[in-house]
Amino acid sequence: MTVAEVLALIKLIEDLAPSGVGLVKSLIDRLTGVPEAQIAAIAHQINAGVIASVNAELAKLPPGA
Amino acid sequence: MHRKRKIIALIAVALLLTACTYKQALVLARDAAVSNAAFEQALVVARNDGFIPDNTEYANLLKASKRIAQLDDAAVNAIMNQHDKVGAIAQIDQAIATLDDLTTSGLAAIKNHDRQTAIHAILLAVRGTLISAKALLS
Repeated sequence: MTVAEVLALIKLIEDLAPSGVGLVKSLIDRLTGVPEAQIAAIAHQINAGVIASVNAELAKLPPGA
Repeated sequence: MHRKRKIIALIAVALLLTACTYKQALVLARDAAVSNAAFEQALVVARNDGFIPDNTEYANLLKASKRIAQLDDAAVNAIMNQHDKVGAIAQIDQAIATLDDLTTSGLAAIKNHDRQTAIHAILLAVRGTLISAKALLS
């Protein structure tokens, strides 16, 4: 394979990767021991906590602040 | 036959790299969320200590933290559910812009130099993490 062919193939794989990457992701999850879904869930939980806390603080302020 | 093997190996490596990139970006997005939570808590403490007396300025700082949380959450969703690098980068860019606005104008609302410096450091941590996530996805 020429370098150009390899680069073209890598580009094609990159474009197609979102649909085919699930299998590899689960493999990595098994290898690293931390499921991706768990990391996303923690991030979501923390962000939700910040939003709730901000809303609570804003509610304490007088209207128009 | 030999050529087919090479292509399959290349596809496997590319998929592995892409999947690793998504996972690392998710970890960074989670870390940014943690730092943003620290920022929000630091604002509440500074307010309780009397260092952010103006209601409007305090509200603006809180709203910026909320916006960063929303954008970070959207970036996580884009990475996790849609494998959408471009979408995630767009969210991260907006979060970075919000942080830059805060740094240039919002922090003046904190009327204590030490506290302002500490909160600025937290913001820099959030920014650095988001920049790393963006670089990874780009």
